[in-house]
Amino acid sequence: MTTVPCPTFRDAWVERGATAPPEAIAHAASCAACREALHAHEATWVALGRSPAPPRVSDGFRDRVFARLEAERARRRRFGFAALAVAAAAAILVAVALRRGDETPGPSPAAPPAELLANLDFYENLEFLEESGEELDWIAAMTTELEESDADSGGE
Amino acid sequence: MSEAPDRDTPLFLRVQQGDRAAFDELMRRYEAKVVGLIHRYVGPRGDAEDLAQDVFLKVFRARRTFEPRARFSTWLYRITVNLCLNDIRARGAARRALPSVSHSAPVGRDGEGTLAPAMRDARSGAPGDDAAREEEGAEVRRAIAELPEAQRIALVLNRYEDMSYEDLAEVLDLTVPAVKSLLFRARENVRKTLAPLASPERLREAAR
Repeated sequence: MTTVPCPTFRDAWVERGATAPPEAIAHAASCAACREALHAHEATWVALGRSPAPPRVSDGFRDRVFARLEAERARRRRFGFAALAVAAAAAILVAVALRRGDETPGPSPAAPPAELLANLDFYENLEFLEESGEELDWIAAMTTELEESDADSGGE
Repeated sequence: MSEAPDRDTPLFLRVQQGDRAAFDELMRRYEAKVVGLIHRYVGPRGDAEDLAQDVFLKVFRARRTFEPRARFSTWLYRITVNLCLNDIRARGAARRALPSVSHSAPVGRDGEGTLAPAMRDARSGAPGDDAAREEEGAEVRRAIAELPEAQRIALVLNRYEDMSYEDLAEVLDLTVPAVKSLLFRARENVRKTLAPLASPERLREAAR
């Protein structure tokens, strides 16, 4: 392009691709710069159409997505259970120490396993808590049982 | 984008409730578009489907953040573009690996104001053997790959996904005038890059 086309029609050509609006075509008939720009843009639009078509999506694509979702869910459950178990164990230790009235400091809660720390991204979505209802119930029952056992033995 | 929002949004609301069949149907509608967009934007790599899988996994994980006021397709494309950008930046070599193409070549034109006979649209019925078509396709692909990221994605979405200025603005988080400017510059750059295809030498080759 050796001359600058009129800005009025520039967007119209870009917007319409290879099919310029009638008013732009009418204008281009009497304006050499716009005619040249119009032809160039039409040619570019057409040339872009020669880009090779993308590959077909392979069979089983969606199955693979579902498989990854399932694997992710299974891992989240496993790590979710581990996290809950650690938290429950720490809570039980604290509860036992308080019940005994021990003046010496109780054991500090266990540090999270390294595996948990390495997979913190799983916890950005706390969905696993919704799926861990059974584990929570089980931990609550276990805690109650231990407390009752502790009470029966006289807090020794 | 060809899918009307009222077709996708009710389906996605079912996905939000954990409906696996609804998610399967949404993927069926968009898998080819997502893979195609990745292929054109990131480049022809063997792992375009892997990245497409990541897109749908992200969609599923983020399903509760989707607001029905938005169009599902726009939201999906936005996620796709963001993951593509992350991938391009992580690899860092996607564009560097491509052969460089001169941007300073003169604009070549044939008698009808088009780039070259071999570059005309198929609607013209221009004959060409497979090798020539393959070469033309590679030239166009290179011209697109040479564009700066923002111009490239705007052009791909506009030309191949038929996306409107308004939808483009939403996907790219830009104003409509900024999108127009981006597209204009993208077309100018592609035109300059493809100009050597219409050089006198190439025209003579095409005539042989």
